[in-house]
Amino acid sequence: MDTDLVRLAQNGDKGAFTSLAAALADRFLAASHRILRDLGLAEDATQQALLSIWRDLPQLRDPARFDAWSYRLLVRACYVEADQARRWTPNIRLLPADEPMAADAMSTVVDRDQLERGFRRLSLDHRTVVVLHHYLDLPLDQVAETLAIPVGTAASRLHYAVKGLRAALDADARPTKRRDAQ
Amino acid sequence: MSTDRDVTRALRSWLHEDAHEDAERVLNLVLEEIDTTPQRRAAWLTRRFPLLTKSFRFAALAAVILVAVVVTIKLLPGGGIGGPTTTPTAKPSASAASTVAAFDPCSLLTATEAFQAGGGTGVPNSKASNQGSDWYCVFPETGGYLLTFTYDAHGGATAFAQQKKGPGVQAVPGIGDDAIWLPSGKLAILKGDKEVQITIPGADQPNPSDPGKEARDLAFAKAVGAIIAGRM
Repeated sequence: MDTDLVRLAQNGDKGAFTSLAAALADRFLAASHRILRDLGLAEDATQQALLSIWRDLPQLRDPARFDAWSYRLLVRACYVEADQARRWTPNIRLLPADEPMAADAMSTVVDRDQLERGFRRLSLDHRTVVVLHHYLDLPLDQVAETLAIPVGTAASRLHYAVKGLRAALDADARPTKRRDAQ
Repeated sequence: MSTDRDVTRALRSWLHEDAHEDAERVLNLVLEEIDTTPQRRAAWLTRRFPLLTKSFRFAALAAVILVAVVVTIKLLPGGGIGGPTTTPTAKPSASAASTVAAFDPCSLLTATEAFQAGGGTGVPNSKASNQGSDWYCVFPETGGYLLTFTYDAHGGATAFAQQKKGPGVQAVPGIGDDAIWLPSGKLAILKGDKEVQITIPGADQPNPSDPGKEARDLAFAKAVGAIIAGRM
């Protein structure tokens, strides 16, 4: 991000902030939508994160660290939205769908519904690391900086997220395999 | 799913599918809200200079009192106690600012011109906005670019001369009286004593996977710069 714009926005320049916010908004909404799996919650998280950036920008000491700092505010807003959603919505546990599958259940082409179900079963911590690394393409050290965790922890979360997703996908495939075997 | 690598590949592909999000509504809400949302002061600044605060306040108070005394003396008939009568003269102060304040930098370039110079077709959804500023204009929707430009109506030649001495500066002939491309991804244009800086956020960060980006950024800046220079 342009550090001149960040400095101007730090000094209350609304034009500069408009530029920053316009550059971030689409990416923020897309990332938060993928973390939260709910567009309404993602819009709220994006709005809160952008407002936090405006409000707290004067407290950012090093404008060069704006990207990591702004993602941290987005992740924080996602956690708040997820927490509120947990309080007000019933806890729905998704069961594996017993629907016909392609003959090759171990195919590398995975049905997006399966991925959606598997991804939703991951914890928020794991989903966040996955989105930051595999969607926003942040290297693990930047993921760690964004989340204020050690790099090893970020790597571990990513590893267990993929393991968990694989287990969920395999679990989805199992009932169909049993039926195929009959 | 045979391996973790297969899962990762499928996951990446799924995450990058277009989910048709449109952040414009959220962005507009945020921009409306910041008008009534104050920024928080940097707490680390106040922590860093705790001892200066008291003395600084005292000095500021003393300065205010001194100015008040001087102004009062000047306002007395005869220009003060036994002083000679002075002829009022125009002084450059806030009046210069008020001259500039009447100027809208967005009048130098329309949002449609910026949009089309950036490769967009038709008319953009967002208008150019100076956000109440007399020296700044933002074009949020410029065909992939987020164009902003600053306008310095007075003393632009001095600022321009300083920038021209900097490292990595590239001359851009044919625009205004003089123009340069700065390594920070800005095109600075001088005309008379006025300077415009066109900022393309991200232009200062080279993208190894897209070697033509810098040339495209410069071409875009030159296209809008030529229009702006003609109206400066």
